[in-house]
Amino acid sequence: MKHMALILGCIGSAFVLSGAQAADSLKRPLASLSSVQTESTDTDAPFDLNARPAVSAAAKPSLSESLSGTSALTAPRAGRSLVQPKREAAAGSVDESALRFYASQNDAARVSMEIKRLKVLNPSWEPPTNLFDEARDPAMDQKLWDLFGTGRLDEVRAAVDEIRATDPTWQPSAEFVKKFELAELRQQLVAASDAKDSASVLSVAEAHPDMMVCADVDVMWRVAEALVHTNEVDRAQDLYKHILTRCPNPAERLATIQKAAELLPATAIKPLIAVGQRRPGAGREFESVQLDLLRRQVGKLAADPTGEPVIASELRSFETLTTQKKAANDAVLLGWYYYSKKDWPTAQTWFKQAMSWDRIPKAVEGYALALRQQGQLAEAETLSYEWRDADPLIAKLYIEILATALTEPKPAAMDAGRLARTESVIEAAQSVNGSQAMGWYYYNTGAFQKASPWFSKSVAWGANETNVLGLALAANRMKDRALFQKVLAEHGTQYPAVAALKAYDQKPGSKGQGGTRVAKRGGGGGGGNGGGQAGQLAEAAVAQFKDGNYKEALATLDKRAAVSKEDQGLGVLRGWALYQLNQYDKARDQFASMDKKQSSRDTQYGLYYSSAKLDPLNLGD
Amino acid sequence: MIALRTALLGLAAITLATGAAAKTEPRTGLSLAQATETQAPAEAGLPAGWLQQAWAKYKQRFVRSGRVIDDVNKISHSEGQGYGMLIAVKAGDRAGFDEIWTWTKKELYIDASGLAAWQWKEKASPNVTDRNNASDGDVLIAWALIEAGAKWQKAEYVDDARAIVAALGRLNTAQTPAGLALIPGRVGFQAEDHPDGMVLNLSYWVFPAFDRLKGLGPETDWAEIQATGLRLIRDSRFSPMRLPADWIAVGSAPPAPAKSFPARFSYNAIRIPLYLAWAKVPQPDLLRPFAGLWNEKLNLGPFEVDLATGGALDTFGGTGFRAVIATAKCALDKQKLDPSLRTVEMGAYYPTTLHILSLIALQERYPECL
Repeated sequence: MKHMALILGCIGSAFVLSGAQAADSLKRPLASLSSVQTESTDTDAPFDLNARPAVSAAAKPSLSESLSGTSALTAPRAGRSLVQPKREAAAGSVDESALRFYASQNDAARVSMEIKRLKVLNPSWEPPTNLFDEARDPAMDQKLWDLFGTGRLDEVRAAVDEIRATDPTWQPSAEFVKKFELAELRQQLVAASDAKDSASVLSVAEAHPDMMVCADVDVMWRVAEALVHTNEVDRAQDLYKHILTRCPNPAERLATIQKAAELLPATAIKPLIAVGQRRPGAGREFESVQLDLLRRQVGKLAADPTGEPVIASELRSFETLTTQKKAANDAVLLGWYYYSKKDWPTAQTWFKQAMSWDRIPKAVEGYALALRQQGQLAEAETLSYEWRDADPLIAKLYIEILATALTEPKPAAMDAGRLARTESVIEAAQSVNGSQAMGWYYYNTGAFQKASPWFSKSVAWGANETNVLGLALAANRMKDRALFQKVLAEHGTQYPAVAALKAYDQKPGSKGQGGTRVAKRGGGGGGGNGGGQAGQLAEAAVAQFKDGNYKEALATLDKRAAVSKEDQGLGVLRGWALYQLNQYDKARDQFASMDKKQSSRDTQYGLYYSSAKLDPLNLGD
Repeated sequence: MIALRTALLGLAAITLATGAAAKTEPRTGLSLAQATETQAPAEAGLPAGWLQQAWAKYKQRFVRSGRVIDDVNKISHSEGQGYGMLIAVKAGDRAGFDEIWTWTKKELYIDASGLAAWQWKEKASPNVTDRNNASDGDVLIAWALIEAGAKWQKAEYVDDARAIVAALGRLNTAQTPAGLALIPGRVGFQAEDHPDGMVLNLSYWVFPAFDRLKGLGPETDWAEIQATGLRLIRDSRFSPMRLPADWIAVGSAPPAPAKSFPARFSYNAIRIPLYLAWAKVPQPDLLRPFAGLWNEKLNLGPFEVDLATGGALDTFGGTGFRAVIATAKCALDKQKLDPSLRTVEMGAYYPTTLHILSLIALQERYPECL
């Protein structure tokens, strides 16, 4: 009834047909596609897409032209006009709604009775001659409307063809044809939109401005999107403004802002929000969008600190709102924001705040990372161990912290409890890197029997060059030739560095491997071909490195490089020196360029750790 | 059946002895309640032997020594003889058929034209006072003869039919502005007889008979005549009700209600939907204006309609008219026959005849509606 009242209210008394049309439309299940009002009301005047010159569509034939030739629904209707002939003024005062309703039902008996009745009451009245122009076979029409309601337009066409086969002059009602053609255009537009074919979207829309109505906001959204994609941001903006000022559905208005916000920069959204809020009766419906916008901007900056900065006052109001609402997720977001700006203490504060409001693993993860960045490794380790089951990323972080500790160039001795905890978490997570780190830990402490199974696990969970190397080296040190050869046979072809270990097999007794990997290899390979000065400088660099004088080691390496080519051992030393100086990006570049020339366990290992340091949010496992 | 239901009295060419006969069919008084009392069980199809039983009652009521009596108009006519012969052959009553045909041949086929005198009055002397024919009567008789010839393998019937069909082709067909048409009678319908041109009666196109006629009278283009009839029905949608008038004038295209007759959809044209539905004419849109004429839920209509306004006049008097509309509804929408119409009660001659014919048509063409 509300629907009917709406239509009657909008059309006004001049339209004597409205009652019957409304009654008619009430009966029909106007599902999905046709959930539009029967008539446009003036609150839903179509958006005039062509108000500005439409450059993109100028050269294309209009879709309506190309369609009209093929439309099965619009075969010419012989000798009948849909235009109602002019009748006596008396018609205006005679209520023909019942008459038209009966006619729409093909209820000829009641139509003729009603004509008789009206004629008696109004002798000068002439019955409308087009009564049955719209009179359909109700069953047939209903079938079509039902099909139409399901959106199966092809089946509608087939059904029409079927009816035509037995009744060549049959025509669907004008209303149906109109709706069908609109639906078909809509389908085309949606298909073009889904295919990101913006030009086609715009040419359909420009040829059929009556599609741009509030009853079908989705179409307008798609057109706006097409405008954005064809760099017609101003027109898109106008279209969004049109929706926001004309369309009454609050949910759709909100969605309009949200969609616009996905496509346009924040600076373009703010005016839209302002326009939307000018609408009478509009309350704080866009507050959530504004917050979302800010949230998105902050989130984007957290991922990419080089993006457009947030206006300080807005950031403050976001922080205030977050605190007021105790919005843990927003606090986490702020944590990441400050984390990305390397403001560890502020990041830590927000993460901690979030943890106090809600048990969010992300907050814990951020908090632990912030602690770690500030060197509070013990706290970070304790926290991430406590929360290891809440989120695999936290377990990973825990493993990462421990792996770093285990593979320090000079690893401190671990107590048994800590080792056992670490091992169980690594086992549970089946961590490739964690298990490898355990392998190296035992390897570096000479416990090859313990190292070997950890390398085995690591290889089983995800073979890579370094864990295969570790396994081979451990096998070699255990003198387990069967295992050693098996590893080489299985992985040698894939990893040249592993294949290169064949040399060890030929000289089982030779030295030059094991122990602290950097020092031994650096020292062992340094002196070769640079002559006496180069050899001295190499030894000096190794000594400086051992003593923790990384800067000096680097300077020495530079000096040596001026007189002799740097071999891989010294290159690795250089990488780790950079690493120790927190110059992770340079370290990574160093390891990467060496790895490119000749990949080895050392280059892989260095590459991994320097990369991990550079990307603490994404510890590759 | 020309004048009695149509006020043909005004036609100068045809003289009627009984001016009072120009009355419309009165109501029979048969109420729906009476009809539903003997309602058949709602099972598919009609009960076996229904037609034989209905025909037996019909003969008892309307047939005397081979003469079919129109009880309301108190006369007999070629149309009634044709209907009687048709129902008899459908009911398999050879004796009854022979009796009616014998009487018809003897009493009505008395003119050298080879066409039946359209009316026969018991009280008149001679019984036939107007030798003009009504083409629907001859078409019905010929059709019944062809059906009988096929059913009982009797060539004589077919020969008789062939002669009638030939005579129809010769004397009752003519080129009109609307195409080759069946004209209502030998005399009185030509263009020169009427200010608005040749007058036709669309209910004389007995479409289900045309297939039979085509085979028997190849010298006449019956297919073209049928096409003209369908075209005229399509073009004769008068008043907002889109209904044909009983009598139309085709002096100019498009056709119009004939000026010599009341502009009405009435007792002649009511048969059009029956013939359309019965024939294998795949044009359901032609049926649509008729299918709504009876609102079975309210038992409203069918009405005679004033084609000047489209307003309802009197309700057609008799159950059989509802059966005709029900047949149209079935043909158009596969709508089931209203249970009240499954049994034929003996009302007046005309609606009772149409009721039986409607049921035969449904049984032959649309058993799914029964």
